[in-house]
This record gives sequence, C-alpha cells and structure tokens, in this order.
Amino acid sequence: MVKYIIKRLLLSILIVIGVSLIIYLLIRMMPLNYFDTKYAAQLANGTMTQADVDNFKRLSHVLVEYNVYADRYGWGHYATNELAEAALTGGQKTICTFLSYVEGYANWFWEALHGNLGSSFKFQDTVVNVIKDNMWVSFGIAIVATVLQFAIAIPLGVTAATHQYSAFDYVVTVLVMMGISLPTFFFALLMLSIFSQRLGWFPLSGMNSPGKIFNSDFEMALDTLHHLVLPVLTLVILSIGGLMRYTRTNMLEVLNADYIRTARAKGCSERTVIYRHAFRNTLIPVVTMLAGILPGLFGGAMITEQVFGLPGIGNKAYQALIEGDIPFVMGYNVFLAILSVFGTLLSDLMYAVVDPRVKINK
Amino acid sequence: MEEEKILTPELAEENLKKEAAEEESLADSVRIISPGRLVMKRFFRSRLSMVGLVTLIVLFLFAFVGPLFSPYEESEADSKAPDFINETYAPGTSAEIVDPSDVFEGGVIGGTVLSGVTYNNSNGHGSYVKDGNTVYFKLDENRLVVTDEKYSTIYYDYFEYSWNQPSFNKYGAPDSKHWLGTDDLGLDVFTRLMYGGRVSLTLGFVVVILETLLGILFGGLAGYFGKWVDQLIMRIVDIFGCIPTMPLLLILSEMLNGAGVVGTAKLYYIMAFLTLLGWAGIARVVRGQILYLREQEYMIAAEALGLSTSRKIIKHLVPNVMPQLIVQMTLGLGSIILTESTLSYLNLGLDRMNATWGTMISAAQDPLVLSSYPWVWIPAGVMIVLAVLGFNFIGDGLRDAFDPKASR
Repeated sequence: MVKYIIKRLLLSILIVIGVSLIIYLLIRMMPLNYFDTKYAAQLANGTMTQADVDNFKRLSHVLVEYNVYADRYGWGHYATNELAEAALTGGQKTICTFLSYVEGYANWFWEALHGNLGSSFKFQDTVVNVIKDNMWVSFGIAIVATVLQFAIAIPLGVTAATHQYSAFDYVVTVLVMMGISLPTFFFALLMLSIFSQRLGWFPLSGMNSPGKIFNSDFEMALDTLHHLVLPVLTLVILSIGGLMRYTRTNMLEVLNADYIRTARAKGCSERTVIYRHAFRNTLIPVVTMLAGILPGLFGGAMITEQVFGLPGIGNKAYQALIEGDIPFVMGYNVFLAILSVFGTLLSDLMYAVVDPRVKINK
Repeated sequence: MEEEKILTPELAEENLKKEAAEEESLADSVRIISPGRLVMKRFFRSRLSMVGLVTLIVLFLFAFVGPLFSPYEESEADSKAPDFINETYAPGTSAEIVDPSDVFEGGVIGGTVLSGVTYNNSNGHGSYVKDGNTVYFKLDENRLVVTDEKYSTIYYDYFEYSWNQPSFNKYGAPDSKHWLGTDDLGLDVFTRLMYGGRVSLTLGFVVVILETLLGILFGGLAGYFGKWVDQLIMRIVDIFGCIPTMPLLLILSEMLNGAGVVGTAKLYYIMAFLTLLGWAGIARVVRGQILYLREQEYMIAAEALGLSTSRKIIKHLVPNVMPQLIVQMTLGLGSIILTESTLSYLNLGLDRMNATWGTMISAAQDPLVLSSYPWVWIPAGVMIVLAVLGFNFIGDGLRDAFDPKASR
C-alpha cells in the first residue's frame, strides 16, 4: 500500500511537471500585456499617451517588488516591453529564444518548489495568497452545492433503478438529461432574468448587498445566503444529472447480481433487499467519485462565478486571464492541475478503503 | 349431395407446399439476426433515441437548408428609412461628425438653407454658400468647425449641420417580418440562429471525428504494444487529462486574437485546439478495450494464422472497440457544442459577424438585453439545449442498444 502510494505520488509529480510545462509555454506565447490592457481605456480617450504607459511599465518594473519577482520567471517580456527592458539592461534588448523559455521555466519551477508562485499584477499580492484568500469562497459555494447534489441525485437514481422503465424513470431521466444539456452560462442568465429581474426575489450579483450596514454577523450571513441561492441552485441543477444517472446505472448492475436474487429467495423484504443489500454496494462507486471531485471544489466554477459576479477564485482567474495577469494565470492553472491529480489519487485510495475486495499490492 | 374431399395428387402437392411455407415462416421468426441489425432494432424501438434523432434531423435541416429560404443574410442589418437630422450649433460650439464620409459624400451639409457645398475628403476642407456668403469649414479631429477662408483661424460661428443618419431596426420585437425579432445591430435573429447552427453542428462533428482518429491511433498503439510504448503514451494521456480545459482554451483564444486570426480561420484553430484537448479520454477507452480484447481466444487464432500486425489491429481489434467509441463520440458531440458555446459566450470564439449560438447569448451580458429583449438570447440557448439533448438521447439509446446484457 505504502509502495503504491509512493509510486502514485511520483507519477503525480511527473504529471504536474508536464502540465505546468505546457501551460508555461502557452502563456509565454500569450500576446497580452497587463499594462497595455489596463491602460487601454485611458489611451483611447486620450487621458494618457503611449509614453505614459511605457513609463508605468518601466517604473513598476524597477520599483515594485512583484514585477522583479515576475521577471525572474521570464515573465519580463510581458510585464514590461522592450523599452523598459532596454532601460534596465543598458540598451540591450532581450530576445526570446528557445533557451530563454527553458531557463524561464526552470526558474519558475525552482521557485514553485519553494512555494513561491510569483506575484499577481492585478491583485497586488503573491499568487499563493490570492489563491488562499479566494478559494474558500469557491469551496464554500461548491461544497453546499455538492452536498445538495448528492442528497437529491442519489435517492432519485435509486428510485429510478428500482422502478426501471416506469413513468417515474422516464420523467426523471428526461429532466436530468435536460439539466446536463444546459449550458451553464445560459441557465445562469435565465435564472437571473427570471428570479432577479422579473420577480425580484434574489439580488443580481455579488456576495453581499453593497453599501448595506449589518447589525450583526448573523444578519450578514443571511444576506450572503440570500445572494448564494441562485448560484448554488444553478450548480446543483446542472450537476444532478450526471450523478443521478451514475447511481442508476450502478444500482441496476447491483440489482442484477446473484446475491440479490439469493436475498429475495431467502425471503428478505423488498426494503431490506434494496437498502441493506443493494444500496450499500451502489455506494462504493459513488463514494469513490465524491473523493475524486472533492479537491476540485477548491478550483472554483469559472462561468457560474462570472455570471453571478461572485468573488470566488474562478471569477478572479477569469478577470486575470482577460487582463493578461500572467503570473496569476500560471499559478492558478497549476493549482487546478494539482487539485485534479490529487483528486484522482484520492479516489483510487478511497476505492481501496471502501471496497474490502480491492487489495492494492502493485 | 356432398362433395367429398378426395386426396388427389394435386391437393397433396398443395398441402406439402403449405407446410413448407409454414416451416419457412417459422424459420423466419427464429432467424438469427445479425448483431448490427439487433442494435438497429433496439435503437429504433427506444422512444427517447427517436426523439433525439428527429430533433437533430430537424436542427440540421434548419441550419443547412433553412438559410436558403430566409430573406435575410447572416450579417445584413435591417435598415429603416434614414433619419434626416438637422442641427444648428450656437457660436462657440462645434459639431461632432458621426462618420465624415457619410456626411460629405451626399453633400448634405448645411441642410436645406445651404447650397453649393464643396468638400475635399483628403484634407478635410470644405465650404458652402449661406445667404450669399461663402462659409468655410474644416474637419478638426472629427469635429466640424467654421474657419476663415484660409482654413487656419477657427471661428466658432454658428452653423447648421444636417445629415442622413442610417438607422436600423434595433431590438425589433418579433413580428411577421422578423419571426424572432432583431438584435442590437438590427440583424434578424431567426436567420442568425440558422447560421449559428451551421457552426456549432459542423464543429462538433469535425472535432469528434478528429479526436476519435487520434484516440484510436494512440490508444491502439498503447494497448497493443504495451511495455514502454504504453507507459509513454499513457503518461502523455495522464498529462492531457489533467490540463484544465476551460482556462487553457481561454489562453489559446487570447493567443488567436493577439495573432490577428479572424473570420472562419479562427474556427479551424478552435477545432484543432478542442481536438488536442479531447483525444486523451478516447485514447484511454480504446487502450482499455484493446488490453481486454488482446487476451481473447480469437486474437490468439489471429496470431496463429500469422496475420500482420496492422491487419490484426485494423480488422480485428478496432471494429470491436467501435460500439463503445460510437457511444462516446455521440455523447462527446454534445459536450463539444457546450464548450464551443461557452467560448463564444466569453467573446473568445468567432467574431461577431459570424453568428454562433454562444455569441448570440453573450448579448445578454448587457442587463438591458437580459431584462427587456429576451428574443435576442433565449432562442439561441434553446437551440443549444435541443442539440445537446438530441445527441445525449441518441448516445444513451446507442449505449443501451449495444449493451449485450440488456433485456429489452
């Protein structure tokens, strides 16, 4: 078991290196410059000139610590332009060669090993801090949604399986299939349009009503809950289908097993057969699946958070991506990759834990 | 007198024939149906698959044949009669020109009172006659100002400025002319729905076929050869499996925007990216299946017959993987349509002028559209749901039909 875990961990490290290398190379080729996008509006309406922007680039490059950090990973080409670099290097222009990519990645990786993912341009803090500060909001929303999703989908799946080909089975199947087929952003917009704009039951965006003074923490929590109803509902409705159908398939498989026939033959009540014999075995893949998705909940739901304007990590990453905040985008993507590697590992280990028949001795 | 039935030779022959026919029909009813026909039969018996199939056929006709009957083009704005705008500017002010070429080419400057407008488009100098006097004007950073006759000193004298402002039927509500209304540029929503379907549906098919080919290639190699080939390919598959798809697609789209790729060329790039990010899952399925099939007796027989490797893979292994793959492909079609529409929604897909369902929904990011003009964005969403639902129903039906354990 220990040997297996060590082997899997080593493999995971290999995967993370592979993923981060691919993302690094792509991001280095990304044509966005944070300062250009940030001051694009001012440039367009004439309050700033290109020289001002270049000045900003140069200044921030020299003065602000985070930019110097960023440069050490080879981000410099993006944070600053040739002009600023020329000012720093005494007229020499840095040229992006293959070697500079390799060197940049090596630098980035070395720092990442020490827990330093660089500093975000946009959020003016280290990437690690931004992720740490924002992932809990995303996790909080996602965990509530996941609990609801499991609480609704499993009973539905079990009932649909025990009443296979009944009207209930058909209706639930069609409904959850519609849920699977809905694009997240469309459904979220539909919810906003109906429940926020038409009916006015829920606020349009954000976590708290802006400018409202709360008398107590409880009042504030209530306000937050009120804001989170629609996002959570969206997440639950869209994800119920997959789990419900997974449960149904597994339950059907178990119900066809010989030991279920034996249980029926020895005269167990239908209730006992289903809930004591069949259901518990259905839970094996479901629990494994839960272990697999759990780490991913920290990664945030980019589209849902974007539509509902929630300050979660997914929304932050989206903003960073649009504006060209290179270090944050890089850090976030690697964070996601680590979460997904960890999820797979956890789900495999969970399988061995909940299913006594499985022996890991490879 | 009753005629007795006598067993004449003719009658006996007839009886024999009858029996033979009966036997034949009996053989018919228990005739062994080929697996392919069995799958077809099961598939067509399932009601949901039929619903999905019909939905998709209708959608395909709508997208590919529909535009032939539409009176509008994909990016043809529905113009109303231009508004004639006549404004007088007090001394000290200047008029902002909407579009200089619009204004001067028709010689409408000055409106009714004026005559003899001359305008030089290259240097922005012009003049007109007003009440017998010639008024000189020039275009100064898109503002119309009155000058002296040498176009140097600026007099902020009063002047009139009138033009034919092109006007479009913006956010027109659904009526008999525009069945689903018009959008912010006065484009017919119904027509754009059809064109949008072309993009989404074709893109899905191309991507799924390409990624299946890649998946079969790599999965087949890994599963058949095993050892280090398997190790190498599967580690690559692991890496691709862990790449966060959506953020990466966003990065790639930004790269396309930055590289100045426009129009349909962008579509091909997006197809390539989706393929690159999607083949890993299929390779994993193919590999698993081939690992299992490799140990079957018929493969040992194939080995004993001395068949070549490529023949063993192409003729004996791949066809047996196909049922699983077809299901996977159909379900994949739905998810690709969803991914593409999400990209378009974030304005990182195709340009505005090439209609896609996702781009049409992205109009609803404007709260005004979200609340007041539902016809601009809701139909596109319904189309996406219908298409994805259709593919999911068919994929589900196929899975049940292919399942050898299924009882119905």
